[in-house]
Amino acid sequence: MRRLRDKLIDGILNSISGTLLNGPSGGKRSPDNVNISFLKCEGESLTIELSLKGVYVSSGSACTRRALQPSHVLTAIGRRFEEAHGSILMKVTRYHTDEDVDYVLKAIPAAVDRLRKIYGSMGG
Amino acid sequence: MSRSPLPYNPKILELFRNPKNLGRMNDATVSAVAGNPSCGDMITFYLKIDDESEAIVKASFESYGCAANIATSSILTEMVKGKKLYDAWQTSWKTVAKEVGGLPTVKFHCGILAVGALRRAIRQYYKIRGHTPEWLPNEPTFEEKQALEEEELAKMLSKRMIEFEGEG
Repeated sequence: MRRLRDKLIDGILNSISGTLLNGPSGGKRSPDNVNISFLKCEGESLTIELSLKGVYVSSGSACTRRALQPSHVLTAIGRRFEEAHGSILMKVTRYHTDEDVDYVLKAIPAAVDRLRKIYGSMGG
Repeated sequence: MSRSPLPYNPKILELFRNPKNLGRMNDATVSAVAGNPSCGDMITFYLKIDDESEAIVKASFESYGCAANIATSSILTEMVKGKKLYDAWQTSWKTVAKEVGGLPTVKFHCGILAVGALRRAIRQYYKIRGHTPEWLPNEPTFEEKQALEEEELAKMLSKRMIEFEGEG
């Protein structure tokens, strides 16, 4: 499980710019947990975009919470509002395979790319 | 089949997948950036205005926001295209919400933000031209007040983060 988790984390961080791993890497990280912030990409939109491709994730975005506050856990570890607002949480399980991770590693860059096009030139 | 976190209707999901009038407008007459104090979303609204008729020739937007934000911005650009500024100003966020087939309660602010950004752009247009039509209210409307400028939004969010951390 840890190997798939790291494959997913490394695959995302290496292929997409403006990404941040939330929490520690390696042995100090829960073996099933992948939590990454995507700058210039809003988290709720990303969860919906991915769900349309059959990838179900959750987000620390303010928009996905009834309270309209970003994840208090992410802010507690020092993430800024926009970093928490663009985060997604994924879990790997013993039932996932390399093929599943490969599929997700294709789906995420395409989804982030589309949402960053909607973001466009805002903020310079 | 989508399993979205909120009960969005098919029209919102369709506009989210295929937004209309998306992107920066290089020949825009005016633009306005507006941020959402409720959740930190932000949109930029661009208008190309014909000075003689005071009508909107075209409208476009960019968004850092959720599906409701993208859908309401997209539909508003469609709704105001070809309209005189006076008529575009009258568009209410409730009409926008109705046009997208209804918004979840927690997303009403997305419709308010879209209308606020449009009104800020229209107000900016008259400011640049140096004249105020009679119908333009002197004071910002509720929707404009809800659509904060980028700097105001950043300040508000940072204040809220400090308060939030204090509570924890």
